[in-house]
Amino acid sequence: MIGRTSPHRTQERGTQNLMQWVLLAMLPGIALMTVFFGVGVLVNIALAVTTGWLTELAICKLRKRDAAPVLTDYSGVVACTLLAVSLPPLAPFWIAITGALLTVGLAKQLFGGLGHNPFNPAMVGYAVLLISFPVAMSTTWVDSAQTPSIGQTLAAQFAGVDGYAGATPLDRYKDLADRLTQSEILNDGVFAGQLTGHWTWLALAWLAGGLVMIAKRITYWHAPVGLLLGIALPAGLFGWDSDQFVPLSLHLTAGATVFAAFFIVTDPVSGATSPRGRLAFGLGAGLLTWVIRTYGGYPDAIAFGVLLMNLCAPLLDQYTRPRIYGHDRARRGPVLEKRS
Amino acid sequence: MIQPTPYALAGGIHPDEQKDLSNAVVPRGIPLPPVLRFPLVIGQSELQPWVADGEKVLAGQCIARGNGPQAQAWHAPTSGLIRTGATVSATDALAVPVDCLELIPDEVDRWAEAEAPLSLESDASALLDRIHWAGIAGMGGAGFPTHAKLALANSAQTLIINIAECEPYISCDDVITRYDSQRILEGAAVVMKVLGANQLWIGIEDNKPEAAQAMEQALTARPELNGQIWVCPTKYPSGGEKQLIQLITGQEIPAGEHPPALGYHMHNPATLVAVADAVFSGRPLTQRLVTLTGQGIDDPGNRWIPLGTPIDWCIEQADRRADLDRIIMGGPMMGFEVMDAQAGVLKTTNCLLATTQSELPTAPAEQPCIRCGECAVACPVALQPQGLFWQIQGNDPERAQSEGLMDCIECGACAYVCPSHIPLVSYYRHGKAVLRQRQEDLVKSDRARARFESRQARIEAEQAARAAKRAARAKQIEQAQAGNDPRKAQIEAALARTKQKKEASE
Repeated sequence: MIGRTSPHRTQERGTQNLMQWVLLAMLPGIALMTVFFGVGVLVNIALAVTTGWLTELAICKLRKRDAAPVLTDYSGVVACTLLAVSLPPLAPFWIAITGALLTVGLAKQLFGGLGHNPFNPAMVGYAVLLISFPVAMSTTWVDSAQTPSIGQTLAAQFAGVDGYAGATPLDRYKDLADRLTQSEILNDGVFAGQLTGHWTWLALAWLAGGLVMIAKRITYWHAPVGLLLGIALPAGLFGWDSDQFVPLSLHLTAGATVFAAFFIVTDPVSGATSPRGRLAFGLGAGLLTWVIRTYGGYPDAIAFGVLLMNLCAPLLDQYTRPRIYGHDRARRGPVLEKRS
Repeated sequence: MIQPTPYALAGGIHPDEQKDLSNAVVPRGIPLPPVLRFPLVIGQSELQPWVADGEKVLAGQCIARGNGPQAQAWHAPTSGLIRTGATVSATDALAVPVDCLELIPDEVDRWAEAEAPLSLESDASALLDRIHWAGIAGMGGAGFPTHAKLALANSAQTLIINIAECEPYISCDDVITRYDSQRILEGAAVVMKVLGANQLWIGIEDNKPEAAQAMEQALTARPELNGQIWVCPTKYPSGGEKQLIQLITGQEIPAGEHPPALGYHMHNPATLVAVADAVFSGRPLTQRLVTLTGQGIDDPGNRWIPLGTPIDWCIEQADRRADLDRIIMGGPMMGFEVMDAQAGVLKTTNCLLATTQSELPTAPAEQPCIRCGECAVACPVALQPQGLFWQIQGNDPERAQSEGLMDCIECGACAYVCPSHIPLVSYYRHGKAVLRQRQEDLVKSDRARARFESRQARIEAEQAARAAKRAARAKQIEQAQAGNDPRKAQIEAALARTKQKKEASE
């Protein structure tokens, strides 16, 4: 902390306000998810946010820090909501709780709290869950044609009653594309004749929220466009053979693509800061996602793409510095000469 | 004659302007205070009193002057009695106590005889000397002595008058242009003559159409000045010297250089009025137009205030309100809080902003940086403020320097937009101060090392000399012990001689 000199006037919008806008922008997506997949979505959010909040409180106490600003800046709420939305809607209750512990405790507070985490907290939580509990994380998705009731949802989440869960379209298409053609795949239950189905509406809801954020200058267009391009370019190039590869339309609408474009790669703390850096960050995350989706073992690999790019963010920042006023050219890369 | 500026400013912000609080009021004077105070340190330069304690002075008489090419001067704004020995807090961000001269007005306001008026036909060096004599310094904010600025670069082709005045609240340049545009051009003609400049540009923000119009009228009467008015969009900080040149020409002043490097020379309109007064009326700089504004006073407006007038007197005259919270000298973006309201108005005091808590609330507590990059968007010189902040916070100002810390103009746009309310400019100033300190330490330690090494060499040389002497003596003794004693030889020689004699006698 340092004494305050000029300027004496600052803009009123604060971090808290930014985070509230992010939550608002997620509302249409969350609402549609609830309609399609049942109240499991809301249960996940409630569990994750509560756990995250308690975790932050506990860690602030352990670190002997004032907890009030940490608990009221909404950054933990945003991170836990992002995680909860990424989880399968019928995931057992302990998935959301463990995930929130990982998100807030491991990825955020262990590194020093808001602003100091090198990795996207929600994606750390998600990735650890996916690797540690692959069954619980991949068999508890819902077929949106058969939305479970409240009772069924609660039974599945808290009592482990099975029977309503299924795979995601991305998952299924990839599985089936090995042996079937596109027209045969479409006859599968998940698709029911439609390639993208309800997922299209979901993608549009996330898009609407994202556009609101860009219009309100909560975030910038660079990283979302980067991610969408990063997935669309290779998917368009290779996906023409939709009997062999997942087609472009499914890449863009199904799974977490649009959600991640506006709510995950836009995380300022763990991303690049310069406009060109943000574009490169999104592009890299998109390309990696496509590569892992196509050749790797995970059907929706956004979390891995983002985490890998988080590692590169400081480098991107170093190499995308703009030219400073009065200088001939931009200073890129490590600028400091070796010190004696 | 009026044209929009063809280039755009990178970055920048749109803070609430608040100019209409003060710009519609006709400027007038204020009553003389019971005492005027003149600090004997202005920025880095010191001044010596030119009058003794208890001496009576006339208005316009020089009362203090510095030495060297960048010397400043104080002239008495009114007649009265001088008192020395008082101290007052320097009117800057640091507010360290400095010696000051006090002038107690005698209410007669008797003027010393004015210097003989000069004209545009006068020699350029005579004009420059007159500007030096009048103690004129840049009245836009930096306060660099005008004669020194003119002497540094007499090759500029273009004189630019900076009436952009982009800081919120401040309207003294606007108002002086509305009411004194001809006088500004008279001063401009002098400066152009001294510089040998052949064209005149005037930069104004588009929220001051009255000033632009007044300037246009004044310019039509003086076609020989080859004047051109550039109107730029209202955006902070378009009034920065480098930013205004960028707006008009698209050129950037190379890092570490000043506008004359590209043939431009920029002045504030109030400075030019002072130049005209000095040259054509033989009067030194003893007063300036000050914007008194803010919610903390009931009677805002621009006033002609004698230099040295205590700040609290100015505020009283503008009907101070009970809920006044703090006084800021300059604007809300780059001004600093007045710690000692007893201090006098300086040549650089363009605005006294008296604010209430509701108007300019204490900034919220600092929160962690979330690297949102808003600051980088707002930065007019394309720095990455969040990076500089990170390096300085990590006590690595050298790294911040290599990322452009020294290119920062401290305009405060980054700190204004920061959602975490981080006082970024304070961090940069701290970083710059640490760098300066380390540089000084380096010089000191280099000097100490040189001193130590030369002492070491001297001691070694002495020791070597002593060792050589000792060795010589030891050799002598050794020779003596080895039987080379000269006395022994003498004895032997004597023995040999007696033996020879014996043989010879036999």
